[in-house]
Amino acid sequence: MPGWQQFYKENYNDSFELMSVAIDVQGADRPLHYIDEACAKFPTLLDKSNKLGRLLGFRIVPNGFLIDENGVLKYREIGKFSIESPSTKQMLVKWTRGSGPDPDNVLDNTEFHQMTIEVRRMFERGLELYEMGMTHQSIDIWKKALELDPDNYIVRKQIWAVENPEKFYSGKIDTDWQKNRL
Amino acid sequence: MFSESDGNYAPILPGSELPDFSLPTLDGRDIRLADYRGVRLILFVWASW
Repeated sequence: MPGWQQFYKENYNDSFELMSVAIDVQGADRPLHYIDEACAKFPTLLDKSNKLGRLLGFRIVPNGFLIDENGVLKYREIGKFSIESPSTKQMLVKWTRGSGPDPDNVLDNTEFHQMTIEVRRMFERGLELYEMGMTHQSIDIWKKALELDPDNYIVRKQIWAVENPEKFYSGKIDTDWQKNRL
Repeated sequence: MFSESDGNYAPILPGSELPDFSLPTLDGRDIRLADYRGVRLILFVWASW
């Protein structure tokens, strides 16, 4: 997140906007921590039910999408999208200055993956239960959804974060712990 | 308008226009994609986990 704020500050102008979207069933406080820590000045939206995943086809984060002045999607990158990548940063700087990405140079071999209707309904039912305070029941239904869709890293990691908050929200995210679980 | 009740459909591909959608900011204000017509947008999708 600090890298994004740095990028925003360095390239700020009226013709573009950077918007971050946090996919978090646990509500605004979880992403807000990272936004506050980075003193991020760009808007951040909360997408609890993964509305964008359905629209743009992903079951994993981090992702990047470039949308032009007319609302047309010009570029997508699913998974591993990072401002720390020099080539990504270069493309985004050009974008803020009104050019690119050159369609011929866009390597767009990302496979689209969507939740099936069944898995999505289970995910959303779990979200409703979670919001009613029925955490165990919500985790049960998310685990059933994951059995049907084992490559769904949004559901998988959301379960981890709800079940094991200490591995995610007490200082640094414990990535070794995550690797061991995969 | 992108509807919550829509069934399965193909995701939007590069070169296509996105349907409008709205999402809340972290402090609860609704933002619509259509509000950003005329602006080049970078959407960065992430999570706290």
